[in-house]
Amino acid sequence: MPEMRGKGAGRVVVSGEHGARPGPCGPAAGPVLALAAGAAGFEAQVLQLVLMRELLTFFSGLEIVIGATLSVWMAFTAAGAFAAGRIPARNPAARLVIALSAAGVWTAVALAAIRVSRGLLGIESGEEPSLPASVLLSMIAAGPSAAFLGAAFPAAAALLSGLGRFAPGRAFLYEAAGGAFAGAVFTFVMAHLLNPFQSAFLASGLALTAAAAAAGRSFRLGGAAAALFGFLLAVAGPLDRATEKARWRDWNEGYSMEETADSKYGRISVLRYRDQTSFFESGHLAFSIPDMESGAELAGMVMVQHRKPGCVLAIGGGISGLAREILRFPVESLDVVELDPKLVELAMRRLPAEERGIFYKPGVRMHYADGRLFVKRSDPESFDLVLICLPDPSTASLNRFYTREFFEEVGLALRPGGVCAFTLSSAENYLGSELLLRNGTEYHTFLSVFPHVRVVPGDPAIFLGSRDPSYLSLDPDVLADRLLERRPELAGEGGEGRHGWFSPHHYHMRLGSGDPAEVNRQLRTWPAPGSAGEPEGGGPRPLPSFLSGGRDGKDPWDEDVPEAERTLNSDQRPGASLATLLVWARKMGHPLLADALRGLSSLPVAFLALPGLLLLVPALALRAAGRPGGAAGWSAASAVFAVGLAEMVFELSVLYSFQGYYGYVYGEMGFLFAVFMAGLASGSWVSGRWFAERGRPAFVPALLLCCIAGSVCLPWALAAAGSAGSPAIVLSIFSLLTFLSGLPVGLLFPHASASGEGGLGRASSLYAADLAGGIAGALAAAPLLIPCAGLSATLRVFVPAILAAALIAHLASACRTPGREIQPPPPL
Amino acid sequence: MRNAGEEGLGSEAGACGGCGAAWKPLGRRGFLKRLAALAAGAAASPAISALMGFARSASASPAGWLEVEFYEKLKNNEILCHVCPFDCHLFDQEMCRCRTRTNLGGKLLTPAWNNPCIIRRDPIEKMPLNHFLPGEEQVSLAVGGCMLRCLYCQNWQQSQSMPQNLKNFACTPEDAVSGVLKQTPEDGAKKCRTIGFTYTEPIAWLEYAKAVGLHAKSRNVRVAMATSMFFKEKALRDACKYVTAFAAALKGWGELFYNKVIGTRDPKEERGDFKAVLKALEVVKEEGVWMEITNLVVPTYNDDMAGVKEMCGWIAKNLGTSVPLHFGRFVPEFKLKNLPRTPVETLDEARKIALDAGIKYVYTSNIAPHTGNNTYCPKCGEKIISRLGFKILSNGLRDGACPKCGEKVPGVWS
Repeated sequence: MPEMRGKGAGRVVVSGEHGARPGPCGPAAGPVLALAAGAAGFEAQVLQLVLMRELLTFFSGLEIVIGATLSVWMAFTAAGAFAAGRIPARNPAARLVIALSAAGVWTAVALAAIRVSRGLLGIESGEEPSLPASVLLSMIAAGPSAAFLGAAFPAAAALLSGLGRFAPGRAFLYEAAGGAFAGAVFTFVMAHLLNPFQSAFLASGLALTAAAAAAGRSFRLGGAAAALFGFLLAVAGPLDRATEKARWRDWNEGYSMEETADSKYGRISVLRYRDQTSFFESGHLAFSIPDMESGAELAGMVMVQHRKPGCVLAIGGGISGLAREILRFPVESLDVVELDPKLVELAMRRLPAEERGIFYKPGVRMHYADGRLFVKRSDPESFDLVLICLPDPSTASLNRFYTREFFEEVGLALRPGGVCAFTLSSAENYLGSELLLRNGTEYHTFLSVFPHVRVVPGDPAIFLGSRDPSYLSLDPDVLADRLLERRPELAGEGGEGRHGWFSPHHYHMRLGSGDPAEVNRQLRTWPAPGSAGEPEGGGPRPLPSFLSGGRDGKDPWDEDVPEAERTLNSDQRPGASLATLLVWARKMGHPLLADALRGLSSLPVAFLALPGLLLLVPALALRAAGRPGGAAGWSAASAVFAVGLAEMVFELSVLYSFQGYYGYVYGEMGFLFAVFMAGLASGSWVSGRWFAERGRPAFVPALLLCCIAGSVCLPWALAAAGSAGSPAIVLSIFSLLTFLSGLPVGLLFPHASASGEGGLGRASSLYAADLAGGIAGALAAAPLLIPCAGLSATLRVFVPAILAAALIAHLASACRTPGREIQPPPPL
Repeated sequence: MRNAGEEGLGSEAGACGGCGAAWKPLGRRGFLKRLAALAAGAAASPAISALMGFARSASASPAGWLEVEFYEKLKNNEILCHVCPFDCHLFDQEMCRCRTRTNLGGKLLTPAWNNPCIIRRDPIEKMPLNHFLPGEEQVSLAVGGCMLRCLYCQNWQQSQSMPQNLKNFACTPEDAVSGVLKQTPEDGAKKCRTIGFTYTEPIAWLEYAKAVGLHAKSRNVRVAMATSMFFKEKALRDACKYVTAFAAALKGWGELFYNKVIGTRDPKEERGDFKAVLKALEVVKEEGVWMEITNLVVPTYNDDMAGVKEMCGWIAKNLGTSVPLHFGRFVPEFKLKNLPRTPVETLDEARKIALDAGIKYVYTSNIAPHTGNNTYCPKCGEKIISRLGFKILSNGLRDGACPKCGEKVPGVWS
């Protein structure tokens, strides 16, 4: 969920009414002060990105963990700003310099701390950290940086206090522009050229230089701090290497780190242990070499499921042995799609020459692309076999390869009689309720596109799908005969592995014991009463037929699929990612979390919308108590909260859809983020211009009603955008929608902060409300609502909250005290 | 309870204060772990969960529960369980660490009774047992629950659950045994005259295992048990009366490994958990029940060759050189998903050390093909049984002896 990275990175809480005195350089220094405010936004954004990437290597990368970490970040930013906004700033420039310096230094400390934290937290070598450990580390490591950056913004905006009540809005604009610039620069330049310490020190040094220029009498302080970061920049290289080694010493004790490299998809680490080299991407084990088994077993199971697999497409896994094993069969062409060229480059350097050579054989093509985009762009009927070898659908990005829409695209790319296969973690013997939910969902999603499905049980399970009713088989003898027909050199193979690791005997090993038919039956009949994994009800399972000396009748794949209410996994409703989250929660020993998520997911969506109406309670109570001032304050706060909520849900919805239609979104994240921040900045600019003309009491209710209209219309807009033929047009439309997602807060915040009494305290409250809306939207939408209810319903869930805020705003504007004229701000 | 219950603080290794040991002083790691657990408690919102009716109680209806054999009643309805070395000290309504046995009103009862979650036919070699009716199959049974917390458990969905939370078969001991007797070879199918307790830890459901085992023995059906050997001596000697063969896990060498990876108590508590495993292995040897030892080689945790050498020396000295030893290959599972597979070089080296230590039958499992899958004659080096994983490719054994030199090969062959 890196899509939320911009939230809270740079919000300004400020008021020139008290606490801050006019900027030291006077009105003439406007551009320099603006630059300082923008630089603060720049540093905030870079530090957030650096820390988030580092934390990603620590925890498991699930939506809920990332969402929780981002929420921690936003909460600490809000707390820092809130606290700083209540302390009078005698010298805002000095405060800015101190806050930015402290954030930079702490970020370096945090980077080092994250790398050595596994040992400190008692996490064993190779062990996945739990949710509490991840959240705890986020709070300890990233929290102070966020708080310092939060504290920096009131100071930065106080520099603009010459603008009076319009200072918050103007500072908001500058920092949004700085954040947008940082997002683009980091993604396209810094992530490729600099290590995390260098990025952090450079951003801090640049921000401090700008702050120093704006500081006037604090110039020496700022200059000294900038010089310090210059020095730190020089030692960042050794610091990065030393802490990276310490990380892996803690992580996999005994492994030696050969190399580390950054790509736009994450940090790649190459570790060696005895005769084995392992590749980790963002802290997760990607693959090891030599690996004779994984690719061989998958290729051996799948290549015999098609009559004559001439043209084969492998998405993932190619470099770790799958391509080598596919090419042991007689194929005409093999297209291998890998996402990250850097990872392939590092692996290629370590592969034996013979294995490296297979990628240069005629008919073998390596593509560095998003697999989904590659399939979408493929000509119809291009392949006989499509093999998907990717990690489980634990995130929205990965879930795109397990949806009905993707299987339909694969179906179009397959020739008649073509076969699609993918792997999914499973269990050989018993599918617990969460695993059955996930794998059952996937089985029926697959079945909705390919009417003939077989599952090879085991971990991972191999799902095979075809539209040809006659050829898929799980009979070990049949498969062994087909293998010998295609690879006659294996005849007489006695397990010596002379011609590769796989032999006909492996079919008996994998399919000869246990009961593959029973596993297929469980998945096919899911969620029928009495199926395994249902914890309660339905009575005991019937004894296996072999125990009574009988035999099964029909094979499960020949039986009708029983009627049941099933939700398929789709782009708009990625249920498999929620189910994967449930599996993870159960595995990591968080049964309460698993139960609570499952319980919440079973509640009617309308029920989840009701809490939004609670916004009305304080507003009505304040009115009833005869406190119009308090009611007006609550009105502004609830409006900002609702718009912050809507903005986050819009942004998430757009990004979810975008990656479904366009491909892996990580690479374009910087661009999209810059567009989003541009929306914020534009909104802020328009808001400023609008105020320059006249005040509009109905503005807030009207804006909130526009958000409601957006909630209703966005699903159609997203669908229409996805149906555009050209990827360039898709990108353009989604960019526009991303821009529009950022617009509401940009429009509202300057208005809300400028149109009421209360000074810095009020602005701080609005800032906190904005972040609270973002946190609520991110935590509710990403891990829970979108997977459970789908995009359309998720957008509707938040409508009552926005409606309530609009009603409150309307009531507040209706009883506004006349006589208060809003003066236009100085020109931008 | 001061003892291990469900997940959370109580399930941490070494938290068995109720059995006499006071809570140990918290170290830095311990403190942070508990802090993390505290955060988890807050984050997981048990109140919300309880409100929504998802909280589960160990004291569900005891209908169909069975009284446990090996336990001691104390005052005030307290109980001391004597099945495994954890010696869980339970107050009323509390559950043992194994997630099965529960103190209900001063009686130790178990719900793990007639409710296996797994029933399937498997090759016997899968236990792994290479010297026990090679080429035959068994009916495998497993019930939910386990007192250990192995970080790499392949069957965590069953082992880390209470039996009543799983979807089970209703299978009495009579059903299981008569089911085995109905397995008649047809069309070249394999013989099946064994019941195997495997996939989860049978010690957690020993009462059911015993009932099935005794019934099997009375009907001349063999019983194989794959176990961690985390037994109390009395319970183990009792089990030896009905078990025909043990696939006994010696998971690593040393208290520290057992504490870090398997979830036994901190070595500082000096409770001797690892020594209890060694003692159990000696007891089986003493009782004369067939046993093969398995050791999963987990990279960086228990693959130090000095430790392997020490372990092999101990086996050769205390259990004899004829006891087969299986080195298993680790694959990333459960909580160790980020630990790569065991390098083949490590397995080869471990096998060589074991052979050098005088152990005659050393196998490599979880990897096929591999030379270590086969049985070789320790005297003349002849390949007697050729295997690919747990599939037998050829069996040259003649009356339990090498076909070339006649050297007797120990095992249960008929």
